[in-house]
Amino acid sequence: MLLGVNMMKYLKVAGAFYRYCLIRLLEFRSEFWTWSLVSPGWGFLSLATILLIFNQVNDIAGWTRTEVVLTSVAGSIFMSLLWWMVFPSLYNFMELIRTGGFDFYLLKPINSQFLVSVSRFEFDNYLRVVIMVGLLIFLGLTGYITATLASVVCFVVTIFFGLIIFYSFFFIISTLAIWLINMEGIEDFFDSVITLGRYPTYIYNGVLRVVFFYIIPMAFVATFPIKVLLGKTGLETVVLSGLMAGGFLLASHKFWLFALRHYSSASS
Amino acid sequence: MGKYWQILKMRVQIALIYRGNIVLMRLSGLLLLTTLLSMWMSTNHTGQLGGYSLNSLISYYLVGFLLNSMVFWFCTMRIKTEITEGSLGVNALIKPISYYGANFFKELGWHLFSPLMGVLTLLIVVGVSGLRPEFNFTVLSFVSFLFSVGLGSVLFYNLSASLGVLAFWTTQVGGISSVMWMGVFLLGGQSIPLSFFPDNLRKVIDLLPFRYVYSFPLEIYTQKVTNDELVSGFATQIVWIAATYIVYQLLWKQGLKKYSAFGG
Repeated sequence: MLLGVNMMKYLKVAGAFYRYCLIRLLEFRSEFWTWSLVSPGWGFLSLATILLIFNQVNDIAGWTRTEVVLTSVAGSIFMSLLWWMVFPSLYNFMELIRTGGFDFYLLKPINSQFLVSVSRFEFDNYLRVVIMVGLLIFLGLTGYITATLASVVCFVVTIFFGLIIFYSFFFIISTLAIWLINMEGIEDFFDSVITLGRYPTYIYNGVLRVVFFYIIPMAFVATFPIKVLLGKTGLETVVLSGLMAGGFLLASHKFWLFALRHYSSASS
Repeated sequence: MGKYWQILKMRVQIALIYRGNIVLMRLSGLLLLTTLLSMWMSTNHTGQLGGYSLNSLISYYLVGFLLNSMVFWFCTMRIKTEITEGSLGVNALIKPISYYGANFFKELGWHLFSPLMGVLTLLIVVGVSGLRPEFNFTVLSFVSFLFSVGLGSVLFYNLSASLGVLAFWTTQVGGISSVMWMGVFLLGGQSIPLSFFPDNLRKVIDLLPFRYVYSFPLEIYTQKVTNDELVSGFATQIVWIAATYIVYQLLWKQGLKKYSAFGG
């Protein structure tokens, strides 16, 4: 019962922030509409690049053109969801650290990690998500993907766990702001990290493969979800992604508590 | 010229203070480079790829990584902020300096430092990966390469500054600025060499400014341009620089007519 009440409180807080961000959006409508057009453009650029590359080669790390296109589409959806729900709050948190506004977040009677993680949402990429999901459905209907209902569900669950993994990973990096204060330029770095996962992770060899499979698990951005969708791997990957998500989330919380013990306010 | 020299000195000092940001930017570029090189090497292709051998393609991306720190300017958002937050009056309008020139030297301060970090990072990449950019230059072709980088850099500055002054009308310029970056990414040859495009599309791309920012210097480096194309390429770069400068001045003069700043 208590857990339910708590859960409702957290959902209400997240909902209030969500509404606030929607209202903010109305202030800059022209920019919102511009981004609505620009954002899908970036997704199409990636696809155009892949199609041009496949004019010259037969496969990339053993993956066919359709498989690489699917990986890029899944990566595009993943990136858009991060920009929608994760990155804005993390950038806001780093700005709060720099300006001293973070103190107010610590005073609120709610888990501070949760509060900073839901403080901002951006909706610029909504059309890109819609178009890319539509493209996946189109590829399914036209026979490019042979997926079952179970594999579609597993795909969605794997993407969800992947988002938790990378939320936790980026949250840990953002928490370094407590020591470093100014982390300007980190947006490009976050973007580039996700770009690593938008091609099949099997393109990396040697040390890079170890790093991108086990330390920064890039395969959870798009490679594993697409393998699950195509039935090339099964429930074991979904379970693995769930375990990884739990582990990363726990690590991010432990690191957060550790970092807070070293926090000294920038305000007076 | 002395006043611009002072701006340059000040910005070099600021760049040195915020060197961590430059390191982060180079690191971001390094991740993109890692992806592209790994992708091409995983194709196990032995023949020509869009007119490039695998080695010359690797050179294209390695030198392109260095080019990132030389030709790209990031003044759009700063100009936008100065216009929308009202600091333009103090920073430019009451001072006996050209806003175009002052911004150029502000950015140049950063530009002098960033390529050094680029070279350092590239040396680490070359050392660790064992990949080697091809380096079969004559003095003339090396000078041509550097000249084209300089012109490409000025062209990109003009494009960025022109987009920045659009803030007189639109308040936010992030979206439109992203369109320019998309242009450079695909049509400028940052993601793949332009020789991968079909011939009829290539004719259109050659008319746009993006090639002359990024791809043209790399085409000189990888020896993909003839002497005639070299001359016409330089001429096109200069024409685009002049055209974008005129556009910037028109926007600036029209924008100032409607600009009003508040505060003391």
